[in-house]
Amino acid sequence: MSKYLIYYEHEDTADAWMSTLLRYAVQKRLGIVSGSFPIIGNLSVIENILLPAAYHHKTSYENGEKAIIKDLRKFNIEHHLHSRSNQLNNFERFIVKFLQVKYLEPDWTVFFNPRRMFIAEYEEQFHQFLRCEDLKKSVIIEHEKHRYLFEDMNDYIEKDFDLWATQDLNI
Amino acid sequence: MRKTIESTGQKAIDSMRFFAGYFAFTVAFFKGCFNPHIFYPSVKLVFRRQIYFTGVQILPTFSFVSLALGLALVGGLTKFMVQFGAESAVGSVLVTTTVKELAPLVTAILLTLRTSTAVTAEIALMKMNREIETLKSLSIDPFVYLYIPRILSGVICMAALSIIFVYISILGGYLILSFNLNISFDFLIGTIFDAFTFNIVLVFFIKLILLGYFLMSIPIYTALQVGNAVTEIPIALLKGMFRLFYAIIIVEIIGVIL
Repeated sequence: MSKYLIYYEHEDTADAWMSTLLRYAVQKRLGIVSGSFPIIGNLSVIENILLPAAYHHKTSYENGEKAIIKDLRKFNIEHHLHSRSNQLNNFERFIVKFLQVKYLEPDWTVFFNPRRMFIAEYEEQFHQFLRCEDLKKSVIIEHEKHRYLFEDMNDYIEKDFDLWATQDLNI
Repeated sequence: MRKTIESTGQKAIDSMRFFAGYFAFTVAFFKGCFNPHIFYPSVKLVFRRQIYFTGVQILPTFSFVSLALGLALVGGLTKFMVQFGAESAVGSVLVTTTVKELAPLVTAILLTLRTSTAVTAEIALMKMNREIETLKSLSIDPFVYLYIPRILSGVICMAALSIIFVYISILGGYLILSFNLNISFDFLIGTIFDAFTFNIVLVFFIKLILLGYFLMSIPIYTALQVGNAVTEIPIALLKGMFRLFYAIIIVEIIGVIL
């Protein structure tokens, strides 16, 4: 299991990292969960989640529906199956974004500035999510000032971005 | 004087930029057509939906317009020509006006009003909300997923609706003629089919393909120029519609030359 925490101090650094990751994601499958890449507004929740699976793995709507309902039920949002982005709260949007990335079946799941994706009231839910979700290769990239949020995440190791990019992503 | 020269120069540079960018967009479109993902379920779904929005939802309005124009033009023109003893020319005049000129033009105008505007706004909003970046971040080619299904559906709907226009307008025209003149439906259809030439059919399909392509590709390309401000969306809409208007005129000129 490879789970890393990467912190940045300046926004410019974060922007540069994001550009690097996006360039990599266009070529190879990298699951980026970030507010910078919102879910598609004119698609429903199920269509958003199925999109990468249907595009990359030819998954049909009928085949994907059952699995998606099961996943949404885990987060108690199965009633939002046919909702649009504007009918979800910040944390629900975060979950849909995560599931979208999950169905991409990427090597790495990157949570880029997760704190920005939801307001403070969902902090505990986010921690619970990280503890319960079985993520084999994941990276959390967050601003230095939010370091306290991840202090109890013992299975995550702090790492340097460049080191991760060269050693694990071979960029 | 200097300001005039500068402004003319700037317009020329902007035009060249547009043509260069649009040419690159067209090349990318043709490349994307060979991408195997266009046959995958996600792209098929977008294609089916776009066909529904472009070609099916418009049918009631389109049928009414076709019938009205058929009554006025086919009926009126044929009645006029028969009254002046030019029955023999009815077929060729109707084929030239209805098939070669009117059907592609009316369909293009109605699709511009309904679909091209919607596509411009939709793509511009997606660009502004970074949803196109979302697709890229999921290794999804926006050309394959967003643009190609829309452009192909534009071409298909343009062709289908133009053919429907021809049928409805001729039927509408016959309705008037059957009341006013002693003309049988067989006679009307017979003279129309006799007037069909290879050139007319060729020009008809060339116009349909060009107009169908422009109807979707110009709004999409223009919408992709939008930045981060909401105020840029109406500007893109305006620019897109004007560019499309010029494109329709160019296609009409090509049709006349051919």
